Amino acid sequence: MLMAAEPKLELERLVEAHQRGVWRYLRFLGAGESEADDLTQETFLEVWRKPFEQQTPQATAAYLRCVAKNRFLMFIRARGRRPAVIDLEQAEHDFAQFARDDGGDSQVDALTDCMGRLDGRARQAVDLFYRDGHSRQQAAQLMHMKEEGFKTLLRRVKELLRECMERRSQT
Amino acid sequence: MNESQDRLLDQFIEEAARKNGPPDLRARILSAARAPRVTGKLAVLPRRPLRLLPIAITALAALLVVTVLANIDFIRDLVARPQGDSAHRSAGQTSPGQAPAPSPWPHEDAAPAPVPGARDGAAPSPAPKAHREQPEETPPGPGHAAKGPESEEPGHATPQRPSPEGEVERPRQPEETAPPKASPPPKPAVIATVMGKPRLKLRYGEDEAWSEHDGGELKSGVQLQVRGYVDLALTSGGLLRIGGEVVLTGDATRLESSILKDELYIDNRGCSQPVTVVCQKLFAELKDGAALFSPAQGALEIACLEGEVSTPAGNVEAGRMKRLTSRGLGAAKPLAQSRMLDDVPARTLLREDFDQEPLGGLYGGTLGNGQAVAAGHGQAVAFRYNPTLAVLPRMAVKMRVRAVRAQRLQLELFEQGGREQPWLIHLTPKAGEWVEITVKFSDLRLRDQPQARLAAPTLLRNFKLYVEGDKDALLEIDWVEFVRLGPQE
Repeated sequence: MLMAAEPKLELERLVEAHQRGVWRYLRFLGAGESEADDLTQETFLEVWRKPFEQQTPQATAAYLRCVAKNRFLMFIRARGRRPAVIDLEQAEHDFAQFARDDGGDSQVDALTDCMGRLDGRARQAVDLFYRDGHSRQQAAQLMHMKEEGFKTLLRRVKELLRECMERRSQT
Repeated sequence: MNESQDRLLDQFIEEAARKNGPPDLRARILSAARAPRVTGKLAVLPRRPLRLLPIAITALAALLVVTVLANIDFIRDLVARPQGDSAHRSAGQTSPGQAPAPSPWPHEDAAPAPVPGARDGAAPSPAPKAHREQPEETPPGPGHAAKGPESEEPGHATPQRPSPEGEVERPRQPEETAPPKASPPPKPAVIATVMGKPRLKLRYGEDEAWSEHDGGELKSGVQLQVRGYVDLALTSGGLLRIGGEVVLTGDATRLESSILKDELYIDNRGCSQPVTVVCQKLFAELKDGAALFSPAQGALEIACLEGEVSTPAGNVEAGRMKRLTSRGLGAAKPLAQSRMLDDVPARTLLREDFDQEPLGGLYGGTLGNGQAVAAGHGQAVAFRYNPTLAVLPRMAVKMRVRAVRAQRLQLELFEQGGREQPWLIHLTPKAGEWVEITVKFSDLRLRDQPQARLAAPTLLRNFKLYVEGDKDALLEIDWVEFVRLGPQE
């Protein structure tokens, strides 16, 4: 299917299906939130102006990530910044594997569900570190723990969440 | 799970926890796509008839008039300058008793005319009356200075800057003149952070009330008051242990500690920040070493543990103690025990938490979950420093590790540009448990030179920890820290 077949409708469908994956990928590469907004827009506008052949959703997602990556590299080069990820090919592979076909939607949903099942110190650790943005040292102090103890706790919680996420996204 | 998958998991957990996922950009993108895009060559505009020309000329003329009016004083000044200069020069040469008129030079324009009657016996000033009558009103503008010479004797055409005569009093600065805006004083430099959570009072200046330290960084000019001892990590990497009361001033390149009460221990070995100690008008400096300073009646006891302490009266060598007074340095004595040195903490020189790849690069093992992992017999976690790590006396490597199905671990540290074989030691941690291990550098050996010791000033280039055991042996490292141990450890 060619992008230009029914242009506006096709663009809307394309954005609807892939915008979250592109945005998450840009964040993974090191873009800030508003930077990711702008670069996602630029990515879709670029493919809107230069139509391409859509074969499978996976191939389309990969092509969009490629365009987004190039946009991001141009953006940070203009500002003298370096990407957060050094091996960009490996990063693309890891993202595709981790976020799966829907750009990470099902993984985030699964994680939200898994986090709802956490309680006690595990829940507190996740809230302090991920939700409230405390550093490991600060979170450890707030939980009256040593920093390395907190690190170990967080590692265990992450492992639990990863296992739970994988179980859920498989079912 | 590798490092980037670990980062992705972090990103997705954060998104789920904060509920701040990707925004819906459909409307924005579609409206941007619908908006007409300006592309192509710039259009060549057709020539317009000249009907706008009169309007343009009128506008230009009006602009010129406004500019001239706004700068009328300046233009007068330009016109009057040669006359005024020559007149002034003439006055200066022919009538030495006369005070010079205000200078026409721009930088002197702000100065008013001389104060009348300021100098006894002076000849009447030739300055215009208007200037003498109102010398302290508004500071004269550029035009005022030019007006002065107009009333003087013209004649000489050579414009030359007048040199004030010796007996002429300089015009007094009018009180109304706003002083030039002073640039804000530079912010005091951060010089140290407090280690641990001791009780500590501080203030910045004698006028300030003492306040409890709230955990923030200490800046230059801080006065500290402690009970017992408090350890400070200097921004240069050094360590300061203080007791009693002390004032610290300086920056990253130099520190001055004024001892007001009690003792002070300094360890700045391997740092590029000399520390000057001031006590009762006595001075001593430690550039690269460790020393203890204790004030006594009219004297400063200096115990030098490493390096050398220099004073105006001579030096105190490592392993010696001397008494500095206003008369000079006393005789050297052997070091005495001091309670202050009992539990001086280790100074961290380098730490790897494995949350991200070490700056010098990881070339053995993998990163994940904030750990470095080596899986399988004969595998190792290995990383390079950035670029080297200098060996100091009393240095050690600490690490938190867990080894599963492993018989032993082998730690190897390689020298930079030196011998090929590494400094090594074998370790046998408890199976399957997280343990903290400290290895003193003095315990490391070379395989074929067991008598050799790793000593300063060797440079090291990398860290390698092998796991030996079953085929599926596993080594996990939570963190690695290189420290300089306290003097009593």
